[in-house]
Parts: sequence; structure tokens; C-alpha cells
Amino acid sequence: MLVLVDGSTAWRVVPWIRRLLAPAGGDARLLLVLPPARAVTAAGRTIVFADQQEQSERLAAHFFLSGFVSRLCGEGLAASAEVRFGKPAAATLEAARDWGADAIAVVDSPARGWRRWFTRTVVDEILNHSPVPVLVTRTSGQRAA
Amino acid sequence: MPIKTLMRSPSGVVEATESLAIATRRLASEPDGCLLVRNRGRVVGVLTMADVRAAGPSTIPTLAAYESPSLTAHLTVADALRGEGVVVPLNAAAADVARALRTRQQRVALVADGADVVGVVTTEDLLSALTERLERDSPPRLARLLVAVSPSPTVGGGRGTRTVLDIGLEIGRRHGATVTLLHVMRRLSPRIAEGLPVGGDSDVQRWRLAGARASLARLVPTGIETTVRTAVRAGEVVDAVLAVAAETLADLIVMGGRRGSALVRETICRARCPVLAV
Repeated sequence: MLVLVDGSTAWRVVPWIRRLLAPAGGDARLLLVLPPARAVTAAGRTIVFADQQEQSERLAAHFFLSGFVSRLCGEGLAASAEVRFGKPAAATLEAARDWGADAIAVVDSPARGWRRWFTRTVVDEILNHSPVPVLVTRTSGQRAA
Repeated sequence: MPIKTLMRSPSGVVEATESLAIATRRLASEPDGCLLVRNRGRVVGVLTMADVRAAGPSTIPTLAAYESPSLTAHLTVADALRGEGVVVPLNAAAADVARALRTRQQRVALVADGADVVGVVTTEDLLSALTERLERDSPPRLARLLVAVSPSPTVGGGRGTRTVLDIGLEIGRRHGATVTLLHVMRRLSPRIAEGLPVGGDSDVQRWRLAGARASLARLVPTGIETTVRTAVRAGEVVDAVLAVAAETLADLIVMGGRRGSALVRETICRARCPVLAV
């Protein structure tokens, strides 16, 4: 199962993944998608190149994910982490295809009121285009695992 | 479980004679949420935010009106401490520490190696260890599943229904969960679904209800290991799915249909548990 996480929602979905996969066994891959890095320039000179910036962000993201990965591994699951750069929905679908995921798990932060009908979220994109089942948990209004 | 695997090293120390107001400000920036309290060179206890709140002015405005600010401003750290601190040896068992904290009604224990205090253990630390232990003893699983299916071949039935059902039953089998198969009939009278008498077309509606129940029952494969229940409801699909999910205390809703449809989206937005859109 490919699990799309970000810094603020990982704590919400990982316990559900653990609960879903622990009795059945399975592989979980935590995916963090970051916006493409930009080179840092000052006074017309490049201080940090985009690939260097991406590399440092990738390391930081892997460090962040390592806690969740080790927790899942402690439950006997085969867990791994992956960091991609780009648009979250497209990168997730591509990662699911590359990895051969049987399902994708995402956390939804639904818009409130009328905005709900006029905004398209990453979850909508994934739901519409995913070739595999999608597990959706919410950030609020839902009981914890 | 030895306590040395749970303890944390406190970085902050405060004198017992220090002003409580100043200590509170230090406490707010302390990552461990506690400060060791020292009196005449000896550690005598631990100051936590709960101690500060208990000693400080009331948070209820009507009560706080009767407290003199000049008196509360003169409080020291020693005034906030609740009796002598609980001191445990480095090799103490977690259960013994928990027992000592409960008996002495304290929230933090000091871990000592000989005469030196080397760490602290809070009730939160003990609770997280207990949680992990409980979860290890009984692995978390899904106990109840709700699978929303449509046995009618004209309304997304056929291959789609089979996939949703297969996935739902497979999850149910692996978790040993009770699976509820739900079919919602939009044009069925709710009174008929509940078995109550209705008007002229009641026979037709009852016939449709019986047909739906039979179709749903036929979907359940024979010799399946998990417990499967069937339910037919009348009315709006989302409302019915959420109502049955609430009634059965479902841990997961498995739904078919077009994934991006308003129906699936609405269920995701309102469900109290995760939704697997198949």
C-alpha cells in the first residue's frame, strides 16, 4: 500500500495503515511529495543549486519519515519511505504505478461549506485517476485508529 | 521493563526558593515539560505545569476575583511542590514506579543512580509504554466492516460489485471481522424496508425488497470463514450508508461506484471512519 503523507497528516494515516495491515501483513511505502526545489541565488551568484537543495530536502524528509517507518517495521510490516518532487497527485499516481501498489492511502483535509463543491483537492485527483483502490482518512471529524 | 529504558534526562534545574512566576516562564520553554527542583544542593522534587496550575491563581474568573495578585506573585517553587518527590533506583521496574506514583499521587518520579539523579519518568512515559505493551499483546485489527454493494446489474452491478465484495470479504477474512453487506434502494419506501404497512403498491415494493434481499444473499460465497450480515435500506445512498456504519460501529467502509463521484466524495466527507473507494 502506497501511503501519501505530509508533515502534518502522517500521524493521522499511519495508525490506520498499521491497523489495516498488521493482521494481514503487507508492504507499506510512505511517500512524501515536495514541491520542486529552486536554486538559491544572491547578488547574481548561485549559492545553492536546485539539485543540492533537493538533496538536502530529501534527506530531511527521509529523516522525518524514518520514525514512522521504524514504527511500522516494529509491527512486522515491510515499510519503506520514498520522497518525490513535483505535483502531489501526479507524483503519487506515478509512484503507485512504478511500485505496483495494490492500493493508495491518503488523508483528506476537506474544504468547508460551499468551497467543498468548487475546490479540487489532491484527494479528488487521486480518486479520479487511480487505477487501484484508494483508502481515504480525514484530518478531522473522524475517530482515531 | 526496567525504568532506565523509559526515563528522560531533564536539562533544567530550578532552586526551591526561586519565584514561581520566573520558574513558570522557564518551564514553558522546557522541552521535557518539567524542571528538577533543588534545595540546598539536593534534588527534592520535580516541577511540572500541573503543579504550577494547581498552586497559581484560579483560572475561573469568579474565583480568581477573590485571590490577591500580590500573594500569588510571592509564591515560590517550594510552595508549588506536592510533598517529597518519588525517587526510584535505576534498575526499578516500570510497574513498581507506576505503583509508587499512584500511592504518592505524583506525576513524575526521579530516577537515581546512587546519590545522583540521572533522569525522570513521567506518567505520560509510563502510559505510552503501557499502550505499546497492550497493542503488542493484542494486535490492532478491524472488527467490523461495512461493504456497500449494489446487486442490481443495471446500477453499477456485475463486475464492479464482485470486486468491491471480493475486497471487502478478503479484508474481513484476514481481520476476522464481521462484514455487513449493504444495499440501498433509492425508490423503496422506508416503511416497507422497516416492515411496516403502506399503501396501494406495497405488494410491488415488498416483492422488490424480497428480490434485493435474495440477490444480496446470493452474493455471499458459501463456506466463507468470516461472519457476513446483509442489510437493505431505503432512501438516499449516503445517508443510509452512514446510518448503517454508525449502527454497526464500522471500522471501515468499502464502497464501489465511480471513485470521484459526488456519492463517494460525500461519504468520505461525512464518514466517521476511513473509506476505501474501490
